[in-house]
Amino acid sequence: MSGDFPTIAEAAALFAARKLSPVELTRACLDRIARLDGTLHSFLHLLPDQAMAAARAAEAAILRGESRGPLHGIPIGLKDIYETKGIPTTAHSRQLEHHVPAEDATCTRRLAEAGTVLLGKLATHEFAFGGPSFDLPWPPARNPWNPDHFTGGSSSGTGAAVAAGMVLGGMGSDTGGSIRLPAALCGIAGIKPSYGLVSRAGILPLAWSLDHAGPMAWTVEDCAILLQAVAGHDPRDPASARAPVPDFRADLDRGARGLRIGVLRQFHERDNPVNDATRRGIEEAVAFYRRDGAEISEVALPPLNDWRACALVILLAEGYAVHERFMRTSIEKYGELLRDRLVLGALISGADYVQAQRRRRVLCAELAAAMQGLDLLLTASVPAEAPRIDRVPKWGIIEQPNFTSAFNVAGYPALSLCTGYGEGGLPLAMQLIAKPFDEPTLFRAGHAYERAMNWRDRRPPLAARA
Amino acid sequence: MAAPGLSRAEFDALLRRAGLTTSETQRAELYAAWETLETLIARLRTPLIALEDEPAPIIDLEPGR
Repeated sequence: MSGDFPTIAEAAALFAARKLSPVELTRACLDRIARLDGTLHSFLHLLPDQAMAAARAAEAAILRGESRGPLHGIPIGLKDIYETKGIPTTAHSRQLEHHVPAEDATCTRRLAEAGTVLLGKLATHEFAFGGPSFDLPWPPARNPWNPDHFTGGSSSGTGAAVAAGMVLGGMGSDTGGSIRLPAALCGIAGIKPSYGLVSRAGILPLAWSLDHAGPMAWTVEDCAILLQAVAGHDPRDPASARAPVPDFRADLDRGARGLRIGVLRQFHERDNPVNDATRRGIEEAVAFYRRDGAEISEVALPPLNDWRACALVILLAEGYAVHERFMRTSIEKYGELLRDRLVLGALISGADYVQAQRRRRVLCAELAAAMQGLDLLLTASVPAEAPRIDRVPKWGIIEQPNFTSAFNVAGYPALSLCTGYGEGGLPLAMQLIAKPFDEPTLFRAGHAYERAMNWRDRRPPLAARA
Repeated sequence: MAAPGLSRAEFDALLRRAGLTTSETQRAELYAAWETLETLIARLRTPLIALEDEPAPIIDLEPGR
C-alpha cells in the first residue's frame, strides 16, 4: 500500500484483518474529495449521507462475518451516464440536467450487490462525446497530476477521481477510447472489455455497436476485481454475450513467461508517431516482457486511418441517431463541442454507414488473422502526456488518428496502463490488446508488468499533499 | 450521398434537409471539418470491398478467435 491510498485488493485485506473499516475508508475519501474536488471537478453529484450509510452497513456485515467479497465496503464512483435509481443522471448535459432515473443500470445494480459504497456520479464529456467543454452546467474535470492539463475523455471524472484517490475505483464507458484515454492521461489502469461481456443496459448510449462499459482503477488487479462484479450475460442488453465469465484474477501471478506478444510499432511509430518519452516507455515494457520470458514479435495491421474512418463514420451516424430528437427540438441545450460534432453525423449517408460496417468486417478479419499465433498486441494508448486543457483541439477526433478506436471497431478487449512519467511528471501509458473474451491473459500481462515496476508507488503530488 | 468534393451549396442543402438550426459562422466551420471527414469517408470505399462482403452491424465474437 502506498501511504494513505490502499488499492481495492489491499483495502479488502485490511477490512478482513480488522485493520481498516469501510467507515474509516469512506470518510477518508470524502475528506479528500472535500479538499481536492473544488480544483479537480470530478464529481457532478456527491452522495455523502448515502455513502456513509452504506459504509456503516458494510462494516456491520463484515464484522458479522458476512462479507460479500473484495468489493464490500469499497468506495467507488460512476460516470454520470450510468443510470442510478433516484439519483440524477445527467450525462453532464443541460439536456438531462433534471433527469432522475427510475431504475438502476445493470452495472449499477451489480456493483451495489457486490457491496460497493457509491460516493457519487462522476464528470464525463457531454454524453460521452463532447469535451472538454466550458459551456455546460458543470466545469470539465481536471488532471490531478497538473490541473492545468486535460484528463482525457470521455470518462474524465472517473480518471481524475481514481488517480487522486477520491475513489478506489469506478466505471467508465468506451466508444472510441473513453476508458483507455483518461486512464492513460491520469496514470491509472482502465480496461475496455470484450464487446458483449459487460451489460450496457441502463447506460446512456453514444454509438451502440461501439459502446463498451468497463472499470477504471489504480491497478490492473483492481480492474479485474471490478470486472468480476459487472461481467456476465444480461438479457436487457441486446448485444450481451452468453460467454462464460472466468475468474479474472486466477492467472494474475503467472507472469509473462510463454506469452506471445506482437508489438504494433506500425501504429505508434509510423501511422501516428508518439513522442520520445512514450516510445521509451513502450520499449522498456517490451524489454521487460522479453526478460520475463514472453515471445516478442512484430505485427502489422491495416493503417490507423482505415480504422479511424470506420470508427468515426459509425460513431457519428449512430451518435446522431441517438440524439436526433434533441438535435431537432432543443439543439440550443447542447454545449458547442457536442452539438457541432453531432451535426456532422446528420450528414453521413446511409450508404456511408453501410460501407463503414462492411469495411469493419474486413478489418476484423485482418485483425483476427494477425493475431493467429499471438496472445496479445502491444502499442501506445496515447501519443504523449496530457496536453493543457485549454489546448485540446475541437476537431482533434477527426484530424488525428488514435490508438484505441480500432479495438472498439473489432470489439477486442484492451487495457491501458501506466508506463512511467514524462515531462512535468505527467503519466505515460501503453495499451495491451487480447483476443475476444481473453481478459484473464490481459490482466496477467498487465499485472506482471505493474508488479515489476514502481509506477504505482507515486500519486499526484496534489493528492499526496492533501 | 456524401461524394468527395461536396460543394458548400450542397453541404448547406444537406444541413437544411436534416432540419437543424445552424448559424452561418457555424456552417462555415462545419464545412471545413466536413472536408476532413470526407477524406476519411472516401477511405471506406478504397480499396473496393468485394461485392458479396456483408456489413457487420452486430459483432459475433467467439471466445479465443
